[in-house]
Amino acid sequence: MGETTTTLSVHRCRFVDFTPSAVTALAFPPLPLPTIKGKNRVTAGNYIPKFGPLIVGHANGNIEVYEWTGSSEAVEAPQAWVVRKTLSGVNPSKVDSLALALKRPHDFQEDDVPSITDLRLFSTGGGSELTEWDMEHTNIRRSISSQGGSIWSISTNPTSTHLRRLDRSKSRILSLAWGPPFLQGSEQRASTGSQQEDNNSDEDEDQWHDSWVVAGCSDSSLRKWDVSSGRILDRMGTDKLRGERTLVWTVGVLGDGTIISGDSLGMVKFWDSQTGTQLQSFEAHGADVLCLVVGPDGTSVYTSGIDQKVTQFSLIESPSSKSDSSSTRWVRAAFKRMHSHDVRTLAMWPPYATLPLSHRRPFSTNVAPVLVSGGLDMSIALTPAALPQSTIAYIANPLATSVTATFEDAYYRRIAYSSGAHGTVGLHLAKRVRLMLSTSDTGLAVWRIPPKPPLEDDPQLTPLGEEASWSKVLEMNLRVKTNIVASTISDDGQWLAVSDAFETKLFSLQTDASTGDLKPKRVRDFQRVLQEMLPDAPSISGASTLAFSPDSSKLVVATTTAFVLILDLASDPTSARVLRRFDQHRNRKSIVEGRILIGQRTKADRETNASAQEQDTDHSDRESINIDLQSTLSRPTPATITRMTISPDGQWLATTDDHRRTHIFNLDSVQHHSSLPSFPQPAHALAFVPGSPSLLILGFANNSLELYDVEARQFPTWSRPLCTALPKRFTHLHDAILGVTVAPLSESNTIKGGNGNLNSVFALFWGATWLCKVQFDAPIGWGGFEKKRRRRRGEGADHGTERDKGAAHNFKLVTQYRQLVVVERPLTDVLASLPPAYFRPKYGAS
Amino acid sequence: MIPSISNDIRTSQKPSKTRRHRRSKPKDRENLPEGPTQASASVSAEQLKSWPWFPITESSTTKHPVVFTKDGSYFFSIVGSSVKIHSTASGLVVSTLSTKRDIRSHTDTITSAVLNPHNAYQLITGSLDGHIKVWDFLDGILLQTIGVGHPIRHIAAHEQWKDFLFVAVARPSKKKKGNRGDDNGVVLRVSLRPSPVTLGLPVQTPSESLLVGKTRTTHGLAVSAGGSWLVAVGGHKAYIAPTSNLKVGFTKFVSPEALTCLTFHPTEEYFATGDEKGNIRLWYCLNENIAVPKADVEKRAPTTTLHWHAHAVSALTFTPNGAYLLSGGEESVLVVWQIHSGKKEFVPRVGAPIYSVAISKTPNDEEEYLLGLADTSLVFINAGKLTTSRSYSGIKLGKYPAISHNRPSMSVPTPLTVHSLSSTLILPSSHPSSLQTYSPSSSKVISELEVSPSNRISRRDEKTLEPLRVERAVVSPSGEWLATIDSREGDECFRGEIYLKVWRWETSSELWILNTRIDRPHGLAKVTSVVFSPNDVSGSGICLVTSGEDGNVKSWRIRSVIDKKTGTTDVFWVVRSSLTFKRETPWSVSWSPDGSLLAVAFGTFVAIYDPISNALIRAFTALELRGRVYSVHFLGNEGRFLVVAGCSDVVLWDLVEQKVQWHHRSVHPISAIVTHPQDRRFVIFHSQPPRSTVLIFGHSTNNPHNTYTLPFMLRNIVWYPRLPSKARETSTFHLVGITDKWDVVFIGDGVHPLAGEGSVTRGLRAGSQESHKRTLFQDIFGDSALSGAPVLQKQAADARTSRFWNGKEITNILDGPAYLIPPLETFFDPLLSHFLTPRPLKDETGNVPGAPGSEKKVSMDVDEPHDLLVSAARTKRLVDDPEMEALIELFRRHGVKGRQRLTQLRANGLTYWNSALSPAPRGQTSNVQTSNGHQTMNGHPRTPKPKISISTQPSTVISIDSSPEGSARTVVASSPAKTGRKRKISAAL
Repeated sequence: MGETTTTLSVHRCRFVDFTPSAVTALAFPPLPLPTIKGKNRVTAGNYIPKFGPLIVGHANGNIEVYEWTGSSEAVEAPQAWVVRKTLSGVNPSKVDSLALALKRPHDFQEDDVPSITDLRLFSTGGGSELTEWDMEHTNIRRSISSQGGSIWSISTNPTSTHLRRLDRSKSRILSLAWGPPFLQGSEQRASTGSQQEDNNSDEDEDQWHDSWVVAGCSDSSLRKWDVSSGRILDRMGTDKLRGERTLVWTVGVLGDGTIISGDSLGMVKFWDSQTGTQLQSFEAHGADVLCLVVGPDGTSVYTSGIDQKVTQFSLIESPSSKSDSSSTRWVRAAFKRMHSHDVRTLAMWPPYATLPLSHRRPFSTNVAPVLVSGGLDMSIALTPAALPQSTIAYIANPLATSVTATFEDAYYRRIAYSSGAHGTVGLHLAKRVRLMLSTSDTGLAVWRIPPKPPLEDDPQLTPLGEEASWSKVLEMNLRVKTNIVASTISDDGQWLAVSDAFETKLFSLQTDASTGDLKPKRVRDFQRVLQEMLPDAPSISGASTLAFSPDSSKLVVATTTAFVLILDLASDPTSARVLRRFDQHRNRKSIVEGRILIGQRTKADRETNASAQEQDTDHSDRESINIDLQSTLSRPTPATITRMTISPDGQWLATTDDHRRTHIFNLDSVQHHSSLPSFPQPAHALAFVPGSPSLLILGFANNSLELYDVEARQFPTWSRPLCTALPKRFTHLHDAILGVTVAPLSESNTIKGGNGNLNSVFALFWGATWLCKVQFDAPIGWGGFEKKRRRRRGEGADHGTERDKGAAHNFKLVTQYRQLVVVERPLTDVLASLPPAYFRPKYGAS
Repeated sequence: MIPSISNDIRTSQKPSKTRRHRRSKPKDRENLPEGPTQASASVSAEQLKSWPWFPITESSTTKHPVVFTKDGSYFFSIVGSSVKIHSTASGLVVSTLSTKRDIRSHTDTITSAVLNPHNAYQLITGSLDGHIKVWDFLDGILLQTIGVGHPIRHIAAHEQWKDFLFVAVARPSKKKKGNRGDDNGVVLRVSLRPSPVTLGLPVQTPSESLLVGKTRTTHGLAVSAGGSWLVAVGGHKAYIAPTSNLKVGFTKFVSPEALTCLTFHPTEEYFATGDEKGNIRLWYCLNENIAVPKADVEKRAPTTTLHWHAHAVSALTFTPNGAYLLSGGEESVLVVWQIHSGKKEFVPRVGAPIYSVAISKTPNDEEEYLLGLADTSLVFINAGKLTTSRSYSGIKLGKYPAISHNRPSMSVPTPLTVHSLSSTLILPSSHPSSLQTYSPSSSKVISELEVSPSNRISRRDEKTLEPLRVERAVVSPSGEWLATIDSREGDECFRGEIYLKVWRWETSSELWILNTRIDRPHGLAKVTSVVFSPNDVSGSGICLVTSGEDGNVKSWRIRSVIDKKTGTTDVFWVVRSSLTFKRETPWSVSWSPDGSLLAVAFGTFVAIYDPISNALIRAFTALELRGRVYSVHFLGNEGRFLVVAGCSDVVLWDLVEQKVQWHHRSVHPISAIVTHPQDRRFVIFHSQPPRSTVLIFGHSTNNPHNTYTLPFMLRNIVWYPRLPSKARETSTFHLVGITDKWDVVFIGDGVHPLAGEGSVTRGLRAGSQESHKRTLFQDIFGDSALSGAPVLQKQAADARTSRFWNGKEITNILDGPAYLIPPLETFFDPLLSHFLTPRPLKDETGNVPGAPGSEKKVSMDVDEPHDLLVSAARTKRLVDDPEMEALIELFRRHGVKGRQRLTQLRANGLTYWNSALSPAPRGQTSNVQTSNGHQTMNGHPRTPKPKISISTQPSTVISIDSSPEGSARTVVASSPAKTGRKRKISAAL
């Protein structure tokens, strides 16, 4: 900014008391079991599964679905997983454990990686309810109450047919794991009480069958049940301190039947399941072991717990010098401390299938598996976890953190938290009246930003540490069914809209002249107005994203059912009126490999297609058929509209959903304008350029950019070199783009659209830890990236780098005042709210 | 008599002055009258012959652990280019392989030693001179020498490979010699069979030599327990090769840190390494699929990391059962890891950084860990109790990198003195705050005296704290007192500290006990000299004189205070007087041999004082000195001549004639002057880097009698009274000094190296090891009287460390069951001495208290059994003089034991004296009070030159008895600093 003619003063806000929620559960989808018939198929050792979605459960009940940003060609994806959508949890609730099952396990190809649509997601939250989520519709499909007490642990069996739930019994069962399935299918299986779903009755001989289930109990023991009979087969007692019960927090089973347990004494034990005897025992942790995960090939085990260390166990061959027989044994290989608080959950991709050795899926050793860990410090850590044994060849690090990919030596990285649902920013600004809105789980708060003294020689970055200069003018705690999904505030500070998964609320704000506080007044019939316009499920009027037009006259509501509603606020100061409902995002189009194909049209005739869409003039009928499209609509496809932006002149509305569809609407004519071709990655940032309002900037999850001219309905040719050859330093940033904003233009330099004179247009992209300025200079013929000035400024001069790593930094630009509001949340502040972490002095008493 | 020591280079400004003098010298020389002085001084040093000298420190230490013989009764330690064979039981060196005198020995540092796996009596050594030597250590014979051609760093052998050795040699990189030096190496498999061409030659070449692979500079080489893997570590890598197929070469595994040591598990096929950051790694990479040849990939191995050490790990070894791993490093802490659980135990404060760890199995199946420390001491750790059981060390001085980094420059004075009572040298130790006492006769460090408490280890990145440094140590002529000065320069954080400490010699425990500490005796100014008076000055006891840069000369005296409650007497040092002279700085103080005069070098003057009255008798200045007087010394034993030295001039002053006897000027600055205690001769040391010139003068002429050179400079040099010299004439000089390289050397006419046991190669078969093994018979009945003589002597030597029974314990012992009674010989002496308390010995005059008055008085009051017994014996038959002589002789001979025992007999509630054994001539009558208070014994003057003889003057007895001063010799010396225990010293008769 200093290089250009415009000078921005930066408001550095560190007072926003947004606190992300602790990570309580992580889950990867299971891979389908190998078919017995295809056993002799040569899968070879170089099978590289695609990276599946990552499901993260939070302590506030939200479940986030993360998607891998890497393309099919490149192994490395510096941004790793990004939030695709958020399943807003019922308030109050929490997620204690997650389980994923394949919807149709028998139909699945062996090497396919299940995507979100193929999976069923179950969660428990400490109560007696077992919840199954609909990940496509982002809501709860059903919930089942256990007839017993509260559920402590759930686990799906390897064949994805059963879900085992543990509830309170005589001794509480804290954890459980399925034993390896076996192939003899002649046994009659009785469904146990916790069976979720009946099996297909027509199993043939070659089906996998469940053998037993092992559970870690709270009375210092592990118990093994036979699945078919429900009888206890074995009971294995662990160490215990005198007079205290050892809690077996976590169990795991290997394909050869070895049971692994981690308990509250910090011991990790390996058991023989046949005899119920302990094979090896390690004093691996200083405090409780809370979680463990088995490496993809079953020769490594990772455990973690309250002492924040992730310990790696490795199965080694130990040839004794005395005899020729080489035996295998487990050794504690390495440990890493990646978290600053209790580690609650571990997950690993590719997932380990508890299969006998003969059916073990050979994974390629050329790509390091990824260990995901999460805990009370709210961040998700990703670690490449290649085994040192496999360093005989080059191992790719899928996270691109370092050249080495072994667990011990490679660097880990964290997924930054996002403050809003669906990976968006939960902060909104009323630019004209200098208000800032921030939401928490169930509440929202509005601050007033003081005007800044116009000092020309002011340093660009002025830390405003004094909270006194920031006044909180409104704090609301809403009665919501689920956690808040979306919220926004109008530019003139008159309106405030907030929504949970089921209901959108609109408030009009009045400023108290004496104190400056805001007084909200709810628009009572807003709910009714919305429901009138919504065809099905009339009770649900929740919005996934909300936006006011810059002149505050219109409100755009993207409902959770993927309708886009344009509401007029200007006509009636007390209520709103729906102008139009769009359902382009509900269209079912041919989705191939996750990409939308509009018929068989090629990229060349996209423009004509877009112009054809202009003819869509059907306004009010509920069928919402896009007549141009060749695809016939049988059933609306659920989608979640994650982001919206409105151009500064209020003419254009751009919306994008989790199916990577982007639509442009004309707000002046209240018409659908065009739809963009779908991109390989979901768009993470949308912004119109103020100077040329028809130019739309799109930033994607893998830090790539696109520019689209809305009026011309084409990608400007001058932007091609920029978008196709982004510098590696930008695309390899470890945090995905969170947002983009475009710098203001001085009045003298106003550009009236077109692609000829974008001289001083630059955009500020930001991620969780970075801020980057991209200048779209010299339309044609500017040579390369030397002119592109980029700046990385995640933290100010007064903050250490480490401290701000993983902190939630949110940035917002207030164009009219040429001021930049930087909202940061130092990690230390976040962590200070937690209970004291386990700490043991390195030296001294021990 | 120990003359005062003078170091002429004292402060930082003075050397500059010296230089200025030297620069102006040529001009001066032309002006001055030329004399024979000039001629002698101009003799070039090269033409001079060297004064005989030999070092008594072995200034090299190795990181190679000691090697135990198969039966564990001996171990080999590498000392420079030789291998010392120690007896495990005693720790003493019994033989030395590859001595310097043997021309066939190694010529460079030995880097490794292994036992021949096929012949347990053969030791194979490798040295930086590129030779492998095979020794029969039983007979001390060199069997074979094989030249490899490059400096050998490590040797490994395994019984699977008969007549083959794995050798890691350094091979300098060919590219740029100056750039990296020899940080590359290769590992070879070398056959021990000589090639036919070189069969008869003294240095043979191996018949087969197979290159295994190239490495970085190796820090370890080992063959696995099963013999199937060869591992070398160097740099950041572990190099692994299967021994079955060495042609494959090394597979490299990468470690995050540079590796420093390597050891193999005794039974399983994995190894452990230590690295520079203190991590210990167990590597589990020895399996078949290791040898996948793949270039340009950094291979990593599954490892387990054990981390406790904060500094580099320097020693690592598994216990023979494979369950524990021992590690040590700079922290001076031995860590015992239980491999199975990762738990650890510690043996802290072993004394110095650990360089090597070895494990011995002593014959009685008790495991011991033997640590080799950076200061060359060997410490045995009992494996069961994890406590230090024994330790042996040479002089902890020398150029060890780990401890010599904090050595001061030449300008700081170095403490060195001789203690005559224990015939030990008091030297600076490995830590600047400590002194060590070293017995040259037994070549052992007797004890270490921590003059000021100090923290010895600091964190790696921190600036080390400057410790208090002992600068001076002086022993009183009687040997009873030791005065030390320790100081620390102040800086911005700390004020400077300086302490004068006076220590008292405890004859019973043979330790120095701190008696008095005086903070800042001369303010914060430096102390320039500390001298004890030769003897009792004017009856007020011994006197200590210190001089400081604050201009004061202080004399200190003993003050005794009788504690009213206990009746004991506390002795401590107080300042007696202080004198100044014209605001000049005193640089040197010297006492006349009879203690009647005190000469002080004040600036350019020499002032002579009467030490009693502090009256200035005379002050003179010598023009010839041209400036400051740095040292004064009385010459000879009559105190007529005074040697006055400036920076390069020496003047001999005749006190009687009050004139300069002669003057000598030399080219080089004088570094030290040592006078002969009896003869009127003295030695001048000129420092002439890097060597010294020595001039010996008599009193009569300024022509030096002799001129020698020494190939080193001296930090300090003192007269050593009992040099093991063949020439016993009194006119020879026997000196001991500390060189600039921190070697301790004996210098003097006709000195010979100590023919200490074990310093030569000799056979072990006739050694005493087997005879030390005690039979069951001996355990029960004690040693045979016939063969007991050598054993007795050995026990006398060991008596210093072993503990004695005292009377009360013995009675307890006899109460117990018979089978619990220890061998008779161990408590026979104490038991008898309990029953039979020795009678006070008569001195040579044979004066039995014959005066009826005193005899009657004694016999009336005494009802002690010992007196009854002795007197009963005497009434039976008269003891004639020869018999008495024999008895005296007998008790003398057993005096070493008796002394200690008798002082402990006080536990009975009685106080006895150990008259004949007190070595210090006391010349004073004293009384001894028993604890019940009514018993008073009269003492006898024991010295041949009595001043007051009580026995001949019985009337005096009464007067002394009644006088309060008379009982003042019952003394309680409190030892506040060290032990806090009180010890009652019963004074001699």
